[in-house]
Amino acid sequence: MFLAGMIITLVLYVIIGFLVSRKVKSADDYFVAGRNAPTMLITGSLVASFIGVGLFMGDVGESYSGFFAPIIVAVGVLSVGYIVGSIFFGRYLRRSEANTIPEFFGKRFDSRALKMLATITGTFIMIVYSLSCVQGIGSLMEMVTGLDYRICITIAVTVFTVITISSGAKGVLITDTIMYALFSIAAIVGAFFIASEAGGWFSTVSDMANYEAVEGILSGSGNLNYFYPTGTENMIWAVGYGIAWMAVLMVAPWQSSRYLMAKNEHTVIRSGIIASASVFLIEFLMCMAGVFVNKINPGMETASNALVWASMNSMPAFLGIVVLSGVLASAISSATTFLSLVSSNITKDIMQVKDTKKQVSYSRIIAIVVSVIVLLLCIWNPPQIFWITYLGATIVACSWLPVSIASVWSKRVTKVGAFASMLSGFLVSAVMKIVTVANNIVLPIYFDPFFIGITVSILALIIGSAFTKVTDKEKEERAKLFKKPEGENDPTEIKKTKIFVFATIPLGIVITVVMLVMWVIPYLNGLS
Amino acid sequence: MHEILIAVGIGLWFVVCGIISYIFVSKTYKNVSDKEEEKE
Repeated sequence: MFLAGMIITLVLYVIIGFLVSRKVKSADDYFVAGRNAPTMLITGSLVASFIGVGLFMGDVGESYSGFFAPIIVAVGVLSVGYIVGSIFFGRYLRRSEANTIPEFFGKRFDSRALKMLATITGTFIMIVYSLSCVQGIGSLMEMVTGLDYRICITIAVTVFTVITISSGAKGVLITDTIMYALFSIAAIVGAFFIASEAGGWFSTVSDMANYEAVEGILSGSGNLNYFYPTGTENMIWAVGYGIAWMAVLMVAPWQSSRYLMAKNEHTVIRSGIIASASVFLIEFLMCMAGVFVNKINPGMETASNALVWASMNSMPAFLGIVVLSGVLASAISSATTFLSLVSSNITKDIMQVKDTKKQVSYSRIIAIVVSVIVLLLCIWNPPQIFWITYLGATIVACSWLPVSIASVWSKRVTKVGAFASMLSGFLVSAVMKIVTVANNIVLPIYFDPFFIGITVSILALIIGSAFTKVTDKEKEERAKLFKKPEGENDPTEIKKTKIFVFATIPLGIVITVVMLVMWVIPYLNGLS
Repeated sequence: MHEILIAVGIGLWFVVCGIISYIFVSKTYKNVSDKEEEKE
């Protein structure tokens, strides 16, 4: 039954992709969705490109293992990335009218070298992410269907490649939004159902306060036998991890590129705020679900399979299929975004194809080539979902964050500083992360690749800019970012946008109340 | 107690970012709002 459910889900996604492909009339539709996407589609694509197996398998597995509090702290820090990113970076990015993020950097700093570096680093990071997506889909499908892992990932890669090459950015926005709706419903219904199976939400949280199978599973310090031995180290890790991921939500190519497709700046800001609330809600519910699964079935060998196990064994078949289809949707939607961006970046920024018809055909061929490479790498590389995903976040934060923020907000940053910052941040974080993960080394928290990489990147930005002068062209390009387009001055739209931004203040209060009622108070009651 | 700090801290983080963002966005669109008020 689960096999049939997954096949039907995959076929439906392909059909949707083909239907949307009919609406793709021009290269602009294919690459930037005609720059006319409304708030709903931008929100859907932002969240769907971010949420994937890293959450439904990685974070749920970490919570199952007793790392709930550090993960939720990180989620609290990172969710705000959409709000800050859309307001302080995204809308300026949209004003640049670039087709890709590397093109934005190239124009802003009048530097082809920086554009190439941004393309190479961005492509590397997105291929790393695609690997984690495909591996996650493979593990999920293997567990659910019983088919061989290699067959599963071949089917998955074929499906998301077909969706991407048939419908382009416009199709990716629409399929992402449908998938966002599906996995949001799956997360909400699934979490409450798992809670009721465990014995009810509040009584289970109280019971877990004295849970012996995993000590401190819901405590504020986390399980001290799991990762770092003290609560302080776990919290420092959580804040560092949160900032790294916040950087992803603010500037990562698969996130900020969504703003290039937005109808206007108001759409950028509003979608950022809705995405922020959605990510926090889904993460909170899913991490709690991971804890509840431990009560139903403690001692699972592979913690990242917690949600999949619960969907197959403690839910009615129909609900289980909906939840698993939601997890599959989250992974496929991320993969379609990565593939669409990697192929357009290579076509436009590396090959520099000018003819618009050729751009679309070349982009499709590159998408197929990249998919084959990702497939071969996944067959060769064993599944390691959580840490591969973390590798990408660290590299994005270290290589792209300082340059992206400085590109808008610094008058003194130069192309040399920007290039040095991006290159050094990328190299230091990538090398350190790969060496530590490959050799299973746990560095003291203060020497985590993220902290070292971001420090080196900021220093390189400052030193590189101090010894060079800002050119007239760079000044001119920065000034253009601060010219508000006339079309943005509609008073009704401004009023609406201000209401959205203001709503983030009560949102913070609601988040505190929800966490107190659904976690802290029943947990403390259980302790006493 | 750590749990209370986490719940309050995350909410405060949203509130602070929300206030800064609201001030910034209001400032960005200030000229337009002023013109509208003048018209009225």
